[in-house]
Amino acid sequence: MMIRTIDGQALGEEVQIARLESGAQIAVAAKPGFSTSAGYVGLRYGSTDTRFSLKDGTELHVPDGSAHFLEHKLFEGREEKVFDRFGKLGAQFNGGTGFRSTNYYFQSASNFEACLEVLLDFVQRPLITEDRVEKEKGIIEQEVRMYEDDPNYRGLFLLHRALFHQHPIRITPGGAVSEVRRTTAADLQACFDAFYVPSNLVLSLSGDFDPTEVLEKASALVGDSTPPGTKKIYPSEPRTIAHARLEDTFSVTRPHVWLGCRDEVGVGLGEPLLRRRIESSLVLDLALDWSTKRHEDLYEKGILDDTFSMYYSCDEDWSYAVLSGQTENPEQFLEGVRMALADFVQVGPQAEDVERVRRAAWGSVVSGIQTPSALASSVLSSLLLNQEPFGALAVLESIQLEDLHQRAKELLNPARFSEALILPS
Amino acid sequence: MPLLQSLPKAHSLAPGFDLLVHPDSRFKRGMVQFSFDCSLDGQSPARTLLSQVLPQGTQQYPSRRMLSRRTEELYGSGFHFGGSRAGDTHRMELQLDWLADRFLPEGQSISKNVLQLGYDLLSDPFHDEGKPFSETVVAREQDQLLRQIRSMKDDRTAFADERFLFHLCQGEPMGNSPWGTEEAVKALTLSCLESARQHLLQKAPLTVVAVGPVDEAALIAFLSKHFVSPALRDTEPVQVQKTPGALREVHEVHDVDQAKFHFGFRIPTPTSPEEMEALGLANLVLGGGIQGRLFREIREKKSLAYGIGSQLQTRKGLLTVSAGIDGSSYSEVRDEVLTQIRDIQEGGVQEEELEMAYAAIENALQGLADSPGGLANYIAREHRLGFHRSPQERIDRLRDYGSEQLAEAACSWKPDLVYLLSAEGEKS
Repeated sequence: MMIRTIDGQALGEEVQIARLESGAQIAVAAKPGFSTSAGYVGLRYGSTDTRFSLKDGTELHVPDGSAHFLEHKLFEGREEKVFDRFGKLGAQFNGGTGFRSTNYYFQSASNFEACLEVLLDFVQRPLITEDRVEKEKGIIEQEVRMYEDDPNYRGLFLLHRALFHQHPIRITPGGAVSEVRRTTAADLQACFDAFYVPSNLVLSLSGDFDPTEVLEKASALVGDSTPPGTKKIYPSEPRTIAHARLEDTFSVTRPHVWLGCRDEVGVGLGEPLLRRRIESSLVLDLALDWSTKRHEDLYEKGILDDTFSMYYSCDEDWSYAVLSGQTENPEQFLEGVRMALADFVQVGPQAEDVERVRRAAWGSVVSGIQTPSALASSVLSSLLLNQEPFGALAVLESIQLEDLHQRAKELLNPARFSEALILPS
Repeated sequence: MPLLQSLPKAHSLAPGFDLLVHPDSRFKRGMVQFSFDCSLDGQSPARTLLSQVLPQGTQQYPSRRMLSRRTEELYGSGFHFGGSRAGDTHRMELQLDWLADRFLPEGQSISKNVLQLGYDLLSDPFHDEGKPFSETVVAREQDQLLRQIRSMKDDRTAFADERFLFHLCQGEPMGNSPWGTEEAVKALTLSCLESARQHLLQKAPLTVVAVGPVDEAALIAFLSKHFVSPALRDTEPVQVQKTPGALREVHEVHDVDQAKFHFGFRIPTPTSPEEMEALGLANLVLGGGIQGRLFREIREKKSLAYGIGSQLQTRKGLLTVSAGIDGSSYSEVRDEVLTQIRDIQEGGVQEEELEMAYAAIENALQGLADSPGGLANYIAREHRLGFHRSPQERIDRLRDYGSEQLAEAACSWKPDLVYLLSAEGEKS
């Protein structure tokens, strides 16, 4: 077992990270004086991983939504429901399926070790049967339908279909109801065997405890099987957008509009991705946040209102910015936003503005890991993306004015803009 | 654990104006929460519009842009001003938070600047010469509020919540939305807004809760200087209690994929900590989380819902159940809710259920020590209830309540209204 310590002095935190022989990573961060402790398990396996090959070359293609379905089934436990096991311990817990990762967590005030045992037991030892899978379909169908009722959710995936030709993030994490209905126990078992293995697992723990003792305890609970040799298969994605505009209708009172700005290619994982994410977020803040004249002008003209929002999303092989809002006049909205972005690219960021948004981002990073749960979650996210925990501050401090201007020119290129509109039916 | 045993330091700064402080140097951010409790009444639309107008600027920072720049300069300090419905109360809250001094360059401190900014927001709004506000800003925000009201239907869950409360509490203040009708918003003038603002500053009951790295003495001095008004502040709004008659059922049609189910019960408002604890435990056993019977029976055993749970509004005297279901399962879900409540009333609760409820409450109370927001809400709630219990005090007495007390608490739940929002033709 190799152990290293990362000192996040500016944040007042420290974390020890061990890599076991099986390939699993365990991060332990002590939070003296805090009452709760938290445990997060993450696997680098998400909703987009529906095609993969096994060591013997067999290629599998499972239904959309399989990772999410599997997450549901893991909570059923083997002998006893996970709800009951955590319930008896009084712990808070949940799980979530993203495009490229699946996470499970607990937070407990007085039963840390017992909760840790439950967490590592149910994610490594499920019982998946046809009966259990059939019974879950009604529940997942209700969850899928709940999301389908949300115009923002519909619009985001319409935008994904406009931005990307074949990339699996075009599909919602839960999958369509028809895909849920055709999922079998064999599909889910195959996904579990392929991805729920120690080499693909990250465990992140935080609380008022002795890190050495906890590391020893946790290491003993993680299995030691060898990597199964699974290879994920993704379709080849062109560097261009799929559609300049897609429209759909839904029962809404006024149009919901999205403008997506796609990066040509991803930059992989690790520090390049962290840098790209931070630079891109700062670019959006500098271009069109509340503190900009551009936003003020559009707001005062009634082109933007309080429904306007923007963010940047990225992973290994995709990244894009989304700017969205509701409006009676979609063309005016889109033209206004496009012109504001073009203006920012032309003028470039100003030094005074950069220092101000950098300062705000710094405050947000420092205070974003206030509790054991937030700290464990943050460390998990970093490790799943092959990034150094607490690395955001160093990147933030190193960014230069010209870096941001360059990032703006790359990201805010109208040749890779897509529009998605949900219009009243 | 000392943190859980301690009560916040309480200061009555004037009649109807209380400060509760829980200093805690572990947290990286300090926070102060101002709660102005008003009635949900004809003034509510003005207060809602005010919550959109005030963040548009102060005289010193005369636009939303300038205010945003200022908060960025203050290391991303937060200020949020908004309103919500708490039973028959329209609660207006200003929340401020800032980075602790130890994370700032040596010698810097920003808490006073953030407090001043928050106060300026309320006391010195950007205005035209000789007027209380900018007419342009008010007209723009009025339009925006009207658009929000018209587009409420687009958020199906929020729309169903609103329609349910409208029917459940018709004729009571809680049946009114905080934003009112389009007509009420259109009729608002600068004078209405100014009257609402002055009411908050001088007359509305005010509770301030501060948690984290806060300078208590400086905070008291600041609040005494700015918020102690010559006029006496009002007492808190009275909550209207209602005894239901026969069970009412309301079905409305909307373009939804998943039907939204709500069930409202009237409960007596607890008058003692003992009644309150028994009620909380009984609700937890019914539907207060994944250990609740509703989750187990309706989701896990019958696969009829993805999420289902029950919530208490103790001061108002309401217990509500909500779920997203297939409309064709309506009768089955309604009957199952009634069956589960009847079982608790007649048969009490099982030992295992009780243990899980104890464990959940213990964990939640212990966890408060790590959550500034949770702690602030807990402190404010205990203050409003007049109970002033420390989390540890509650933990120590939790096991005094057994199956009998929980069944007794549940016996007072009276079904009032079942509501379903579903697509045309989709109801059993």
